[in-house]
Amino acid sequence: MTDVEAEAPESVGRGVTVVRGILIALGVALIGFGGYTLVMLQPRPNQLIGVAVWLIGAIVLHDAILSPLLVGIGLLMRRAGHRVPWTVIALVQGAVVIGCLFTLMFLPEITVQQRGPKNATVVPLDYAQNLVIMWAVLAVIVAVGSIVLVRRTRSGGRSHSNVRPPRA
Amino acid sequence: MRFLLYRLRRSIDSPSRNPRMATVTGRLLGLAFLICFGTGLYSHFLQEPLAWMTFTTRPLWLYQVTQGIHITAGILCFPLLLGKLYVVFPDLFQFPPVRSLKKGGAVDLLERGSIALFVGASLVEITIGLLNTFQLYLWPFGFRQVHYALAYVIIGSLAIHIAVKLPIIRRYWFKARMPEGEPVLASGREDAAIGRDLADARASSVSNDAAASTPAAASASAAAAAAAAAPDSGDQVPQKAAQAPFAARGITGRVFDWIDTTPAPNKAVSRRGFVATLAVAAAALVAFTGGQSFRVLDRLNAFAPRKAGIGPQSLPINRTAAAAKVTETAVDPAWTLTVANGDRSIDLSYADLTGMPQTSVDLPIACVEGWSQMASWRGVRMSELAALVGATSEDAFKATSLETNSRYGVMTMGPEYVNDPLTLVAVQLNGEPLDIDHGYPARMIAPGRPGVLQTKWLSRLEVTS
Ligand code: HEM
Repeated sequence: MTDVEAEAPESVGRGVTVVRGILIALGVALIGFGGYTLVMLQPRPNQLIGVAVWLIGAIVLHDAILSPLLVGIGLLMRRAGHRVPWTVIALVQGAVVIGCLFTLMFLPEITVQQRGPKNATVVPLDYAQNLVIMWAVLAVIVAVGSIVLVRRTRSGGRSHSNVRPPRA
Repeated sequence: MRFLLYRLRRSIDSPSRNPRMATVTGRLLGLAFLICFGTGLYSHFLQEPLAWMTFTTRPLWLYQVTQGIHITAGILCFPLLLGKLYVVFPDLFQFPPVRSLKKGGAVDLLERGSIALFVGASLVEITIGLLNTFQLYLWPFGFRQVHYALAYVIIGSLAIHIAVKLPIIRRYWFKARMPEGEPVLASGREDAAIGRDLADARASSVSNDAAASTPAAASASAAAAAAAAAPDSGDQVPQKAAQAPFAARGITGRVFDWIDTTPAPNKAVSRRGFVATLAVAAAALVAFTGGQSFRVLDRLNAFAPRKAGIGPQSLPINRTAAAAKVTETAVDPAWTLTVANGDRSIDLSYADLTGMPQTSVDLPIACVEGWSQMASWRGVRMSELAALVGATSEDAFKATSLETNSRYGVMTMGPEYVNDPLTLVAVQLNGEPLDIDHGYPARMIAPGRPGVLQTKWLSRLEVTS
């Protein structure tokens, strides 16, 4: 695509149209094959309904619960921007996101341990303890990092501060 | 309604939410998905080969690495997919959701439909994949079958998604094209278009707003009100003036007002924070789970469902002798291994087998669930057993286990594995007779195959016609 075309993305070039056509044809074929395979391999109605429920459930869970929650938390943290440097907010946000991600992904291993794994070589580690350690390390990083970042902001270095220096 | 949706999109906008970031995260996610798809298909066809397929037995670690990559890249899909969805979240509130057919509604419909399918299928795919490695089954369908079928659906809807977004992807592929300070939502709908949206909305709600008469001016004030109010180091106090006509009307008005008085985030910090979070999350996931597949990371292994060195004879297992219900048949002194080729057949006792020339090999056990570990095996070459019954180098074998209650009780082995000098009917593991959970009295071990095909508790080997 030339730069002129790039300026007006609605008018796509011929090359783009061809590639688009190929991709869409390929996509439709793959989805069709996937659907066919699914029905062939899992023909019982309760299996197919189960898959549909999981697909719709995943979208609802993400779009209606997880994302709004994140947006809300993000907004609340932004409110703190009146008082706290942005770098500190970003640090806290990053740590919370990583902690939550690990908790969400590996909590099920603790469930398996409670239910009793099929044999002793499945989920053999102390995941609960490791999650606690992970959160503790994140907390320490946030604490130390925040102190450093606030100091740097106070000492007036060029930073991305939103906290205005006190008036003379 | 349209205005509300527009305001909603603007309110939850953040500097990480732009088409460049959507392209960057999308690229990584697309790569991870294609890697998972390729390695997944390889694993599938190893287990269910089409008639014409034959496989390479070298390098020895091939399957160990492809499936290790499958699981590790799969785990990386979690932050990548969630990050990507975070970037494009405001586009959910695009108005109208689908334009009228004339104005490109067909494309909108295709786009929205393919995205819904893509998001749903991807989330389900990675979730059941991860839970399967924990051996936690919470669904009423077969994991392997659904994981396999959805893989095609995902890659297909991804292709359509890329087709729809192609102009934007091309535009923002290179960093230089990222327009600084120009507020564009991840959808790539141009600011002018969004400005027009707003202008329309204003025209219908506030008729005397002068800005509405010129789209460009509306665009400019929209920009000022929404995002451009946050230059990298300047004053962060939101410019409420431009939004005055809509202030504090009803509950929604108050909510937006509250949001507007929230300081707009610093763009550079916010964007860098997003990228750094993604990078650290990805690095931490690989570091703390990769050890089950890649030995160099073993010491950091804190969250993987398997740990190298844990198990009978220091090797993990998937199916115990008890689960396979072979605890009695496997230790029966009358046990024999039958090797057959048509009418020719011989029965080998344990003493016969251990009395034959023994070969030692180092081969990994590499599970479909992604964990793997190197081990030392000792036993009789498969090719020597095949020669005992006059099998040719083109013959495939069927191996039958004492275990009868599993689909892995019967395994087929192509000639490429039968002839390989490293393929053994093993009787020893790491210098000791096999533990019963590792397949005593004898098990198969071949290079480059998934663990489910390394049949344990062998009872019969037979040339297939
Ligand atoms: C978009 C991402 C993914 C794609 C396209 C994909 C695709 C595939 C495919 C085609 C197979 C072969 C299935 C068969 O043998 O019939 C497979 C197997 C497998 N995948 Fe995935 N996969 C993805 C993500 C994941 C994730 C995130 C995990 C776990 C963390 C995972 C775990 C597994 C496991 C354990 C198997 C082996 C199944 C078996 O043979 O019993 N996958 N994958």
